[in-house]
Amino acid sequence: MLFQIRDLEKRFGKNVVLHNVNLDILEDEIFGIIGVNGSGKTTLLKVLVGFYKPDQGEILYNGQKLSKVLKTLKREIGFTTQENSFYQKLTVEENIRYFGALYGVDSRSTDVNVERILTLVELQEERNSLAENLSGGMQRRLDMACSLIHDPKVLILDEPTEDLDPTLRGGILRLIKKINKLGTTIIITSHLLDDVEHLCNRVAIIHERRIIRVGTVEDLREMYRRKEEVHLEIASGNYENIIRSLNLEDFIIDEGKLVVFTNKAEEVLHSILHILENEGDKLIYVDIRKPSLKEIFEVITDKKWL
Amino acid sequence: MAVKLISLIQKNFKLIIRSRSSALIVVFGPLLLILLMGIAFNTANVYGIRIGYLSENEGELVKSILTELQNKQFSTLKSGTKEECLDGIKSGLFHICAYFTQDFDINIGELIFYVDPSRVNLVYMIMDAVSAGVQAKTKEVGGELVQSVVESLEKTEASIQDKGNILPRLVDDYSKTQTSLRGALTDLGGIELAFDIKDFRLVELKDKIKNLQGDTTLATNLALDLEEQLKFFVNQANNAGAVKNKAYNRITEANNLIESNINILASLGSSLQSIMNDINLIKRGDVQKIVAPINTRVEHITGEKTFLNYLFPTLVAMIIMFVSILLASTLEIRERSAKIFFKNFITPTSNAIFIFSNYLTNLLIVFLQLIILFVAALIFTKEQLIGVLGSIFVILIIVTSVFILLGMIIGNIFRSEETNMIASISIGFILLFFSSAILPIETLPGVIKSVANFNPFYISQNILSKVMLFHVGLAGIMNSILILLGTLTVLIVIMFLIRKFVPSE
Repeated sequence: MLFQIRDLEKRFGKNVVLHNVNLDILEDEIFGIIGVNGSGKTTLLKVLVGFYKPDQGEILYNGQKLSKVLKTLKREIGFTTQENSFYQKLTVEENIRYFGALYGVDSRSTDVNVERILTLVELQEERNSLAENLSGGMQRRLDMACSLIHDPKVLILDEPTEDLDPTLRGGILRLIKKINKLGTTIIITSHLLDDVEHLCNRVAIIHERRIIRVGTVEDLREMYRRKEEVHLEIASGNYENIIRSLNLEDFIIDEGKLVVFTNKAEEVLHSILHILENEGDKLIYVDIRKPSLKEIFEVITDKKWL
Repeated sequence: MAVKLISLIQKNFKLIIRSRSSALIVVFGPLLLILLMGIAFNTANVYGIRIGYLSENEGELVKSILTELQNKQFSTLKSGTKEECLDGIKSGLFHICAYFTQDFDINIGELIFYVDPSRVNLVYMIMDAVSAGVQAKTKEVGGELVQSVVESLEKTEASIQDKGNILPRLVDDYSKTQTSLRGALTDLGGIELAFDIKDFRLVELKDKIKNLQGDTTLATNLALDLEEQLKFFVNQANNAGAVKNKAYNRITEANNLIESNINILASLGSSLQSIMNDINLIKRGDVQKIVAPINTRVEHITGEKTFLNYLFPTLVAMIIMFVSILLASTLEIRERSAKIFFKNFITPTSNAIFIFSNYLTNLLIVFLQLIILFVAALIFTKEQLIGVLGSIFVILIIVTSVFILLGMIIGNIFRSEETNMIASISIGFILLFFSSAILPIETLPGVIKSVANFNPFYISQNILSKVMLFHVGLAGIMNSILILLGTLTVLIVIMFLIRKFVPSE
């Protein structure tokens, strides 16, 4: 167990930001923390690295109290903040080397690590460019590179895909997976649930200052399973035979498409394809929609995702 | 630790140099300030001062005073009325208004200067310069008056000298008369006129005649006649003796009188001599000395220099104070308010290294500027500074450190660049005000004066002046240095406490 958080409470003045937080984070996993803006995700991460002291409860790192192993933790952790945190007026390489010096990496290891990390984050060609001249995606990668120079055991990423377009987001997510495969535990927060859904081994949902669910995405899906949707469109546009043959009750026809609500989407689709084949009709469009993490979140929190 | 420190300082310098606006403000701003102040104060003269004047009776004396002022490069402009003249000061047309009273030329009346006391420094400077101009004319007028007095004295002296020869002659004559009188007295004293009829032994004569044989009648008659004659003689002689005594007494009286007169004449002679000596002394003295017997002149104990020389220590202290406070607080708040602060925090680098690296960065930048300043200063005042460069270096390190720490504390207390800038400038001006740079600290109320004595800017300005202008060694300013070192220690402690307890976000 890498981190064990027990009955954690954090207040800013009278404002309780985290309340009764209990959480375990395992080694080598990608652990996602999801929640709406202001739910306390970033505060939780900052408490985890000792930037904020908890008002109540305790955090164990590798089984030891955080306050006692803070120096070790600082050497073993990398943190990429929500907004880029590097010096805009330094080049890519200067930024990475600067953090190498702060993490106490010796010059030979720094030389080796810089090359390795620049390759990992695909910024070799931009090594002498000022950080301010990089694109948004490159800046995110530089930020992560700065957090990786000392080969951290844990990499914490606070909203790493925020404000990035889908292409850049894909790149960052691939990079995170790559880093995780190299043996680094990843703790990631996001409110872009698609990212977390495809990336994380386990997810914690934080809502109104407390962790309300923890588990794999599949576990959560199972817990909050609801009817899947089969969307289809056929050449004739006549769905009566299908409805009658399958004795469908829960369906709608919307803009020429049949939408069937069922708990056995694959079976229903198979039967429909068989009917169409017998009737000689053609399938133009088909899609099975499962409930997303977003929908699960909405069910759990009873709130629309913002 | 050294690697971290060097890395942090390198990073700070790169950030400053690569940000054009920062480089411009941080490095070139103070240099520009130094240059402008140098040009502004590199003169000891008061040029371009405009004097409005008002004279109801513009006579010779008024004209000559005005000419004197114009000769001293003041512009003079006549005003129609007193109000116009005073309004001229208010509107900035004149720096000073000179009002010659109506009877100025006739009785050498009053010359009143109207000044704007709100421009206190300018007033002192102008009054000094204008007074010097007017004073020259006052001396000229006084000189003329005294000259005529001296001429009268010269005439008196000549007259005394002329008549002065009579006195010795009179004394001489009196002395001779006195001698004669004394001789006469001696002679008179020697005359014996006291006779007695018995002295002539007439009884013995008569007895002898009685014993004579023969007819003695004739002889007796003769003896009687003789007796009669002698009695008459004795009587006459006694009368003459009485007269002689009377004459003797009168001559004695005359002699005493003459002696007294001789003494009086001698005294008169010495008085006249004394008057003559006094007149001679006055004559020998310069007329200007009589007009202004006490000539006051202010001599500079550091030799004749421009204002820049005198202001240089204050200028250096001022540059150190403002640049250090502003630079340190700006760098501190930029670092703190940037997102990078958190990322720096979570590295295994201690607070002390961050503080020390920022301190060293600031120190190096301020010293870079001071080196340029001193290199320029050395070109003009080589003799003045070259011998004390060692002491100056030590003082500059201490002084700069104090103000950098102060700036770093300000940068850690305030949360935005704007409030930080306002606080830095305000604190700078407070320190400046409670020093001798604007008003002498001695003029401040007692309590404030006591506190102001511990003002680091005042102390810095003071010790830099002592070292640069009077070449006082470090031992001579040890107390001030100890106070600064004490202040520095307190500031370091405060800095660490703030870093520990003041929230960063």
